[in-house]
Amino acid sequence: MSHEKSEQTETLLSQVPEYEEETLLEMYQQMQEIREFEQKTSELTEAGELPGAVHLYLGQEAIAVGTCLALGEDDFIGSTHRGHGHVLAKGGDIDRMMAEIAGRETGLNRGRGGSMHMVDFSLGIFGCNAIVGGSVPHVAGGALSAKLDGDDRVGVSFFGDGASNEGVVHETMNMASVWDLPVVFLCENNKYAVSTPEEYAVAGDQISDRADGYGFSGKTINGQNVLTVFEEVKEAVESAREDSRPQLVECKTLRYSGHFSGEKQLAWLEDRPYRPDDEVATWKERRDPIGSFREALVEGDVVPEARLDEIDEEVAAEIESAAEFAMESDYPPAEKAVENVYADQDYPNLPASKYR
Amino acid sequence: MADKSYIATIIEGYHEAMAEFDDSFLIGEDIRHALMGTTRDLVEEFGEERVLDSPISEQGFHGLAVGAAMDGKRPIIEYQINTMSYLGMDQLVNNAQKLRHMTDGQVSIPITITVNTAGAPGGSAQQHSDNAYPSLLNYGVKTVVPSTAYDQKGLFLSAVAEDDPVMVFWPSSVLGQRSEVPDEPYRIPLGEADVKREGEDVTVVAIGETVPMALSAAEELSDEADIEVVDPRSLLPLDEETIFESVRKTNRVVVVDSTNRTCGTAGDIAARIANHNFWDLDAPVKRVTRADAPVSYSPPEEQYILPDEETIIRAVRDIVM
Repeated sequence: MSHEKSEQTETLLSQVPEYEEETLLEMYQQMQEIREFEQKTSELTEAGELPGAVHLYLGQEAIAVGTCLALGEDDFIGSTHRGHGHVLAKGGDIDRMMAEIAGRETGLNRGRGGSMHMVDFSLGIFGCNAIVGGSVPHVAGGALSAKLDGDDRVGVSFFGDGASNEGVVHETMNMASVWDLPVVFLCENNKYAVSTPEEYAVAGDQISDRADGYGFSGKTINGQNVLTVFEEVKEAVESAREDSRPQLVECKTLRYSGHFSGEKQLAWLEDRPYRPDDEVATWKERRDPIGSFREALVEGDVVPEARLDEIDEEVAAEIESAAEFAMESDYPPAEKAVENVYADQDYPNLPASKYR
Repeated sequence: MADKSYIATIIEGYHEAMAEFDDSFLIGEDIRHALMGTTRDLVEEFGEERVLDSPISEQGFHGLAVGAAMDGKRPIIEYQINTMSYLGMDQLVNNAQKLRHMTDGQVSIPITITVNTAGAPGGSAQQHSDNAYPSLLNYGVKTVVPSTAYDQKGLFLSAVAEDDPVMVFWPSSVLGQRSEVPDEPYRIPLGEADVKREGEDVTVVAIGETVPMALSAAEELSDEADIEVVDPRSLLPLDEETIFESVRKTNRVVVVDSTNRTCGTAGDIAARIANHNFWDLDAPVKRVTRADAPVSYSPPEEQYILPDEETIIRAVRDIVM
């Protein structure tokens, strides 16, 4: 960190006195878990240990953590291709997540879905989704179901600046409004849809302005400040719950790594980068969600630095152990591939095999 | 002539097609920075007006391409991922494909749609691993699936010149394939199959990524059976005659394709052979396909679903024994 405190740290310093130490430490720990998890995932993929590509959540940790802590246990989320952080923050089992990404039998989906398809319905995780915008209507559908049940559950739909241009997202926002559905549309505007800048591809000043067009409230906030995210999302969630109405919260953020784990191999991007060289470094220095929070916790005399170091060590050990659990787990047996295509498997030759 | 990789001929084909047709433009996601490696240097050569990075709005940009085609343009669409065609399906099937017919020929929709690399095998899982052509063939969309660098360039340039929508599928596992490829533009007409290996005993009709598997199986089996490998290259139009002729000679056939078994491409080709070559056949027509299941992420399950050399060998042995 630079010696001079960033604006973000100053804001955090003004916010921390309002919180219990326990809550702050939980936030710190969860953000650190996501970061370590993603760094480990990145190491594993570079070592060729994972079957498929991964899309890392590094830099966006405050959004998943601040949002999920603002939710009740029965509230539910829909996630994206960049979903590890969301699943983790909503309570996903770290060992089973790592095993899923490694394609192992002990994974959340028994290794079948991998990084982009993790679910845990018992925790209200409706799933990551490999199709941009694909999970947004699912969350509204969950909210419709909650409304039919007459309960007060709220759904939070994570999506990106890229997805904000998908027709299905616009259609869903309209339906959520006309049918009064308790959904929080949680846009993580990380500036780039793969290589395409938000400034180029998204019309209008702010994504949150789009809520106006559909007749509900929208706001744009700093997605790098975990307390701001927590406070603003909490307000949106409670409002969605009380009024049974949609809300849109746009979090400004930046992904630190490439769109996907293979991007480093695309040599031609070195000559023609899609973002400024110093952008990530500047954000890391001035707006890192974990660094600035840590600084505020220490400077604000909330916890001694040694306690945070201790958490760091515990988290590192936890992630290391998750990776070991994953890598030591078996792959599922091949013939299970045709299980669970259908609910009932008693019909002959259904599903058909590749040869007979 | 030069030794070129499949992906190099994609880049070259794009440059040549856009140079040849002033009314063409390319639209797709992340094409200016060539995230998939296929569109390199196009924006430098043809400018941002003709190389459009689209917002993530597949149905929208597909529909825009249809509208531009109505106004006389020759759009090329690149799908970044194989399953994107599902998102553009209404504009592709219900509009692009039907417009000539429903206007009784008043309009041409000369759109080329390239379907990029991501896919199986490779841990791409359920939503990024489909070869979506059987459903599109069923709806009548012209489709080519080149399996070599040479075929790719020639078929792509023909696809762009066609006055109808044409899908060009680039199977992920053949992108590294290398052939001797002319430096100048050339066209391979749609509807011409290629005999990739001549043989006397068994015909293996193989499509796209299964062509190298069939060729390798043929070598593996060379002591047991002399295998002829026919690559249709173009699925619609389909060169039936080359397939029928091969089966007339060998009297035995296995059809291989990496799409689902039910209503898959192999089923359709097998039915045509059964109809036409019934009296030539000394054994049942066999199919090796994907199992009828979505593609799993974990490698053993993924392999269980996909066609492979081992299963092709088994199928050949079943009909020559």
